[in-house]
This record gives sequence, C-alpha cells and structure tokens, in this order.
Amino acid sequence: MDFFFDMIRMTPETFSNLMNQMIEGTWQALEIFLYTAVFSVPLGIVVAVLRESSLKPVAAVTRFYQLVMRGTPLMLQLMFVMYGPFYMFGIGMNRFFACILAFVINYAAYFGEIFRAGINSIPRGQYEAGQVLGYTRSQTFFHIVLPQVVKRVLPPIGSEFLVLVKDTALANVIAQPQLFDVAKKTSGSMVSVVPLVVAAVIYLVMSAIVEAGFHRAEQKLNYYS
Amino acid sequence: MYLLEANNIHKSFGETHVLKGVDLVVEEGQVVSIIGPSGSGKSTLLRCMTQLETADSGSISICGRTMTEDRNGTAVYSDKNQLRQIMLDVGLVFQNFQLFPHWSVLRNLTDAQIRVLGRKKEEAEAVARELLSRMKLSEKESAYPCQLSGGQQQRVAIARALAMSPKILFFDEPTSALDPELIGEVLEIIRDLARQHMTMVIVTHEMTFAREISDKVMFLDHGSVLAFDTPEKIFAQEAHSRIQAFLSLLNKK
Repeated sequence: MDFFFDMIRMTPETFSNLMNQMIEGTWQALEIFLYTAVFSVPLGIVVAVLRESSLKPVAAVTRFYQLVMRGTPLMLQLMFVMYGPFYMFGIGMNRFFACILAFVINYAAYFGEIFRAGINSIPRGQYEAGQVLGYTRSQTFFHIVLPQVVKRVLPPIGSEFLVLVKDTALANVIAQPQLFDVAKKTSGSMVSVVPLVVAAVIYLVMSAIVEAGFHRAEQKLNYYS
Repeated sequence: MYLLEANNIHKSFGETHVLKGVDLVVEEGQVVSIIGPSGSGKSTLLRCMTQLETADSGSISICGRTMTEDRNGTAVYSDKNQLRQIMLDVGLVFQNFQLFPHWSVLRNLTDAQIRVLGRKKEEAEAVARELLSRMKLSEKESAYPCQLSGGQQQRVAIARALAMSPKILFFDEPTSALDPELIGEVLEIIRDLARQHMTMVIVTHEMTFAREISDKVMFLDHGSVLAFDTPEKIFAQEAHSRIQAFLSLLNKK
C-alpha cells in the first residue's frame, strides 16, 4: 500500500479526499446522464413521428430543428440555453435545468433519426394487419409497431448512450459540476495526473455498465426475429 | 340478399387505371375466386373491399352496411363508425402472413379479441385454442412465428382472422409465398372452411383449387371483368379466348 501512495506521490489522506470528490462528481455526471436518457428517448420517438408527418410544414419544421441540433456544437447549445435567456430577456436560468434541457433537445434530435429508421423498417403489412383486425391507429403503433422498433434500434441507441456518458463532461462549459470538472480542478491544484487517470477509469466503467445493459436487453429480445 | 355487393369500382394510381368499373357480388356462404394475369387488378380489388385502398368511384356494401356510395362518379365513404363496423365483419389473410413476430402464436390469436372486441382473456384463449386445434397446430400455441414453417404461419394467420368471427373472409394469394410442398396444407384448411359455408373471396393462382372449391369464379383482365360465372363455364373449352390463352399459358409451366 505504501508503495502505491509513493508512486502517486500522495498521502493516504489526500488520496481519500480526492476520491470523495471524484465520487461526488460521478453522481453529478450520472444525474445528467439519467435525466437526459429518460427524457430524450421518448422525445426522440415524438420527433421521429413528427418528421414523418404527412403535414408538410410539421415535417419541415422538425427537420430544421434536427439540422440545428445536429449541425451546431453541443457546447455552444449549452451556452445558449444557459446564458441566452439572460442576455436576451434578463431571465436567469437554473444551471442544472439548463444543462438537462440542452442535452435533452440535442439528443432527441439524434434519437429521432434512429427511431425514424426503425419505424420505416417495419413492413407496411404489419400496419395493414393491425388495421384489418380492427386495432386503432395508436393501438397498432404502440402494441404492434413500436415493440418491434425497439428491438431494431437497440444497437444504435446503445451507441448514443455511450457517447452521452462522455458528453456529460461538456457540462463543464456552463460550470455545471460533474466528474470532468472535479478531475480538471483537482489535477491542477495537486499538479498530478492521477485525478485524470481516475476520471478516465470511472468514465470507462460507466460506459462498460451501459454497454452491458444494452447487451442484456438485446439478448432478452432475441426470442424472436 | 348479397353479403357483399360492389358496383362499378374504379381505382387509379396516378396515371395507371387499375380497376375499370368492376362489379362483384357474393352471396352468404359462397366461395368466389378471383383469377387473372398479374397486374390485372386482383389484389387492388381485394384491398378496396377490405378498406386498405379507397376506391375512386363506385359503391360497396358489406353485410347490408354501406361502405361507399357513388355520387356523380366519386366514391363517398361512410362515417368512421360505420367503416369500423364493416372492418369488424371482414377478415383478411395476406400473401406473406403478416403475423406479429414479437407475440407467441396464442397472443397473435387472442390480443385483438381482447383489445378490439373486448372479450375476456379466458374466452379469447378458448376461441384461440379451438381454432388452433382445427388448424392442427395445438402444440404450437407458445411458439413464435419465426419458429414455424410458412404453411404453419399461414394457418395461424387464417386462425387469427377467424378468431375475430368475421362474416366474410378475404384471401390475397394465400399460397403464393409458400414452398410447393406446403401449399396443400393451407388449401386443405380453406377447403374445410368452404365445407362449413364460410363466405370467402379468394385471389389465387391455383387453378385446380379455384375450379374445385368455388361457387363462382371471376376472371379479371386489365382491370375489367372478362367473366364472372360458375367454374364449369369459366374453365370450359368454349370460354372466352383470353381466358383460354391465360389457362393454357399456366398449363405449359
């Protein structure tokens, strides 16, 4: 053990203090991750449906929204949501709320495309079979089409979730505290690479857990093809 | 009193005039086959009858309910409730089955009964099991569609349609997607339904079957009815020359 603390040139107390801060930062990063995941996935389904709307203006507006979200830096979007309302209307934003809002509207744009591909991959005959059996349009969508879509979009959604784990670090730009913020500050104050390495390991572990979750979900849905 | 009555149905897709004034009447308990070369409008006609397409003009009524009326050359459809009632009287079996892959065979047969007809779960399952035994598929109730052969899937699809107690059952080339050795088992089920006087309209390329099972056969060519008569007359030597040409072309294969 002494060898370990010699190697990282820290006392056990400093190391334990660092780890506490890191854990705190991890929770804060997880919070951003979870709120974004919970809200952006359902919103992504809505975006997909609106984008496929037969009302041309609705589809066009949705497409434009997706272009803006996917065509500008997320970092800039965070700044805009956090400070834009204040600069324009003098409205101060709650930092955490602004952070989640920016992440959700950004990720929903990407999820929209994934769900759109999934929805379009379901044969028309499935809708028709639902229709002739007397299901309403929404029953057909939610009970027949969507479950099949979920199975097909799991791999790309899982991939986006891994990106999101790491993108939580971008919250740094609006000074929202989280893991990367802690790593940056402590490594500077300690003049040490250790906090950066620890943060990297934590991001990797979080990613591995997310990946494992999706792997399991895929296996669970493997009972049909 | 006709169970199905369609008059002067026209349907175009863009510039293509697919149905050019088709009439079709089906009496209760009758089996009507629709035959004809590909592209003649057989499937489109069936899709108009089952509300998967809307006719441009003409009138359709099923079980005494008006689906669409012709007003000055335009098909005017009834209100949503009426159309839904008609939908519930109608069953359709697709060429490529269209079973719901994420549900077991049993759920495929019970879900619509419960969700659409409001039947109790036990009742729906009893109906489903009775139908599965008629289809000789009792041991497959917990299987998923992907675990079944094409012939078995089509028999489940027929059972799924029957579970809703339709008054008329439409088949859109029910054996065209099957391997040759699996066609027989599906045709046997349809024969069985005919014996029980199920009213059926069948689009098919199985000429021997159509001849044997049908009360009436319609020959459709380029969107027009060339003949609508008993199978004896349709398949007779002195039939319409266009029909003879079509049948002899099939025989050469």
